[in-house]
Amino acid sequence: MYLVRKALRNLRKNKIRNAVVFMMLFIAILASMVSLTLFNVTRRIYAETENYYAGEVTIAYGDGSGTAPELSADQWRLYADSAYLRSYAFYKCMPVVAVGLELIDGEYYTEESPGSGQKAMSAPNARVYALLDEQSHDDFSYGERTIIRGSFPDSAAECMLSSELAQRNGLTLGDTVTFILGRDQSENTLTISGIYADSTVELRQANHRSPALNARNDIIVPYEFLEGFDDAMDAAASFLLKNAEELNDFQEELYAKGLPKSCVVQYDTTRYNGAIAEISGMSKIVTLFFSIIALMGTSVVFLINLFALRERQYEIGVLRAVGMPKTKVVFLLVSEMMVLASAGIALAVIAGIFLNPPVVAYMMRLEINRELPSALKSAVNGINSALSPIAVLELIASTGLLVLLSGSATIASIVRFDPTQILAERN
Amino acid sequence: MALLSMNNVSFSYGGGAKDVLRGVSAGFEGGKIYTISGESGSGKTTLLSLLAGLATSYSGEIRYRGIDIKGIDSNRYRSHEVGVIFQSYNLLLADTAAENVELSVQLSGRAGRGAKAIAYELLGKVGLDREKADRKVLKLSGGEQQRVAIARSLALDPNLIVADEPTGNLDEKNETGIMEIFQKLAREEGKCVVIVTHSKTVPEYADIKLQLKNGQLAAADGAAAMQSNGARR
Repeated sequence: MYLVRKALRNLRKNKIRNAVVFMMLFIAILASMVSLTLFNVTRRIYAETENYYAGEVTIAYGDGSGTAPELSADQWRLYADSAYLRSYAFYKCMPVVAVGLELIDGEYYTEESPGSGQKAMSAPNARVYALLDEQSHDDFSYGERTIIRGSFPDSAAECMLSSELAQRNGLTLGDTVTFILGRDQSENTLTISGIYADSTVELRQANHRSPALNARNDIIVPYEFLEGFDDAMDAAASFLLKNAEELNDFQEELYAKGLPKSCVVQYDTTRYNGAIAEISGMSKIVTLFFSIIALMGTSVVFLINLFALRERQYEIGVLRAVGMPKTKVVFLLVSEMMVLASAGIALAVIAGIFLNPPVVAYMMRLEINRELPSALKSAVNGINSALSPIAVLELIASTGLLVLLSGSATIASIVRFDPTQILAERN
Repeated sequence: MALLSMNNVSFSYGGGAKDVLRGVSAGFEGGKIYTISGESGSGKTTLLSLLAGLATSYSGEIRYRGIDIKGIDSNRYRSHEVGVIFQSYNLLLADTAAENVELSVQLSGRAGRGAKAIAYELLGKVGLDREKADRKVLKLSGGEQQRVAIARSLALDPNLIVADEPTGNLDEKNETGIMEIFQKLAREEGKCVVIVTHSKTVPEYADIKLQLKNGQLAAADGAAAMQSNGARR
């Protein structure tokens, strides 16, 4: 206890030297904290990416062909009702020719003429999306499309429109919409059961305007409307597991619900490897940055110790000469450094409360600005940007280790001197 | 039996390149003041360092209360048995006089009734009042700093006090004051005080005057050191 009191007294007595040491320590700790934050966020983004791509699973025949079995909407509903799932995607998309609608970007529409002698056929000017339910497409399940009036269609005779398209055509609930399915030229008239607000990216191809490529012209129908159509231009039939490690448990549940044993639940390894390769580049850079900062921090503290303790050789000589054991001398000097480091950590944590959110936000922005699936984007967005207690503990542990390592090494090099030699040099 | 004895002690620098002590034998008893004189570079401070346990690379034997000091933990020896006083005081300059003494009290393990209180008491014993005890040592005169160094050496209540040129930087008045303290410690408290000095006046306070010459320690009057035990004053 006396040594701790003496350490505190020593800190008060050499204000300028200790202020300089403190500032250097604080800068080293702050830099370590920022790099630790970057490291942790990248680790979280990496884990979320890994979990997403390993957790996005499909059902396929287990013969290695990768071919998916034909599943009915009812089967899918049954399989999708599982506690293992975070979400699921089940939809089909077909091009259509909307009849009598004033479409958004309609002025860019050019009607194709297939040549003489054939029946004239209009080019598609819109798309129909057939969804299992409101949750079976990311745009709805992650809130980029929200039903603002009415409800999801109850039957194959109903549909939903975007609020822009409905407004442009003066349509409301109960009105009808007619379109021709491109494949068999069948004309379909459906009643509007719902209108949704749409905040997805409007143009499916940047800098290219066409009503068929404008998302606001999409017509949403129930899955049953397109059941049996196997030439969809876009389709999805996948589950997203909450935890990628529960794949086998989920598969067993599906077998219990009637999935033939000839089928397996699997994730797309090519897609997974591609995504992981992309993120590991960033992860490696951050790890390297973290290592460099840690090395620099250790070097700075080592040099601080060296300079501060060289100056204190005389004091060390006196302490040794009056019989203070080397261990107590080291304890005294390391205690002083620890007190300064503790103050540095406290200040760095306060600074971190303000610095951490923008650093985390920057990293997340970098990741989110890439083309990411909505579910992954949502998971990345959900990463807590506040300085976590674990991060503070990591900071304390790494700083303590840093001070102990560099401090002890430097001090050990000094206390091995004979006290008479130290005093003789001074005298 | 001598409190401290040297038996055929030799010491050299530079791996034998320069012999400083050659087979020195001497005995030091409690209740007496010993002075060791000699020319500059004769090895007086080296001899003192050996007695204080500050240097250990010698041949021969140094026994404290009959035990070879190489067998005693050197930190314990310095913090419990021997009080060392340096010519340049070697005090902690940023600390007050009391804090310097308190440090040694703490190291000696005598802190039971309050290390600070013992420190003030010891400083009082060497003539420094409370006001001076609370001053930083840099704000004390040379004589006062040496008194602090003596008080610090007494913190462990040692039987043996070794002092290297304790009055080397002091004027005559302060020298007298310091030597009177040493006399009191020897006469009244039975301590063995060994003083290295090149002063001509300090040996006058000694019970036994020794001379270090050519690496050999001899009584200043020519008799062998081991047999010297006559009081001069």
